Amino acid sequence: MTCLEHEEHISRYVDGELSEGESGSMFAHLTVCSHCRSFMRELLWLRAELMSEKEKTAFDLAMQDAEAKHLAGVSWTTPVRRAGWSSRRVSLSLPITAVIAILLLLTSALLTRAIVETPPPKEVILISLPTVEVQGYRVEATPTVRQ
Amino acid sequence: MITPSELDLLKRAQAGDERAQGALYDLHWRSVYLYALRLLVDSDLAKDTAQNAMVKALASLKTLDHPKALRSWLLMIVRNEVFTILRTKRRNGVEPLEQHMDVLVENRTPLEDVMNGERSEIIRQALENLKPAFREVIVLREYEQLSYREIAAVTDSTESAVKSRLFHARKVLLEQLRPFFRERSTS
Repeated sequence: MTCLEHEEHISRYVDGELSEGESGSMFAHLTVCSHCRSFMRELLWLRAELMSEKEKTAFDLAMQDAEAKHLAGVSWTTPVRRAGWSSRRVSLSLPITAVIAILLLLTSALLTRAIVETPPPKEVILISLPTVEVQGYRVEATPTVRQ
Repeated sequence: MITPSELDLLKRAQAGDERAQGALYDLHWRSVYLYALRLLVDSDLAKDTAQNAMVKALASLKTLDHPKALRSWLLMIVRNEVFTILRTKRRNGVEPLEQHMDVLVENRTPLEDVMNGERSEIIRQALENLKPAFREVIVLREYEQLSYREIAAVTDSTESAVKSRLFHARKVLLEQLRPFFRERSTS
């Protein structure tokens, strides 16, 4: 038998598909052939590496699934609590919440500006003067306004 | 090997129990998807293929006479789906599984490019570089743990053909990985 034929037996042996008689012949050859021993070692190493890669891929897939499920479970809602509604949650979508927040800010800014810029009312004092007669003429005093 | 609970699930699914069918889908989805992924090397395409295969399998579940052969039967359906896709690809210039068996390595990415990467990435790349027909027997044997007889049933070939193909696939894979193996065994 050639080394190539023995290698095929080694391949079947690692799969558990070699008969007892064939295994005996293969091991007898392995005791004298370093090339085939090396092939056997490499094949066992390859199997271990493939198993490790399989587990790594399965783990990566499981992580991808978990991440996808996690992302699907998150919704952009803002819980709002109201007095007397402690057991109820009102959810608003993020855009609506944002619009309401902006409107509130604008309203408060406008109100603040209006309050700051309104001038204080002016103080008006009306002074009435008595009517007097000077040399037969009746003189009426014009009311004056003083601030 | 099918467990008694899986056998019970299968019987209920065959009787038309939708919940059992859903459970069966969940149970085999990953294995079916991974097989499609290994053959197609395209995750989106593999997902579609696996999904189509599972839908077809569930629809024709009543035709499965030997419950013990469920896994092989599922993989066979996936394989047929993959073949359909590869045939379509061939029309667009991509070779199917059985073509050019004399060309052993597809040369997608030189392994040296990923030598500094993760170990699993190196193995994955070497596997992807194999011709699909070789990759398939490696996946069925090493990942799905099928016997030569089961692989022959899935791939619609003989046991001796499987034996030979598996041996050559391993030789090619080792040829690619030998520098890496030597590096690991000396370090």
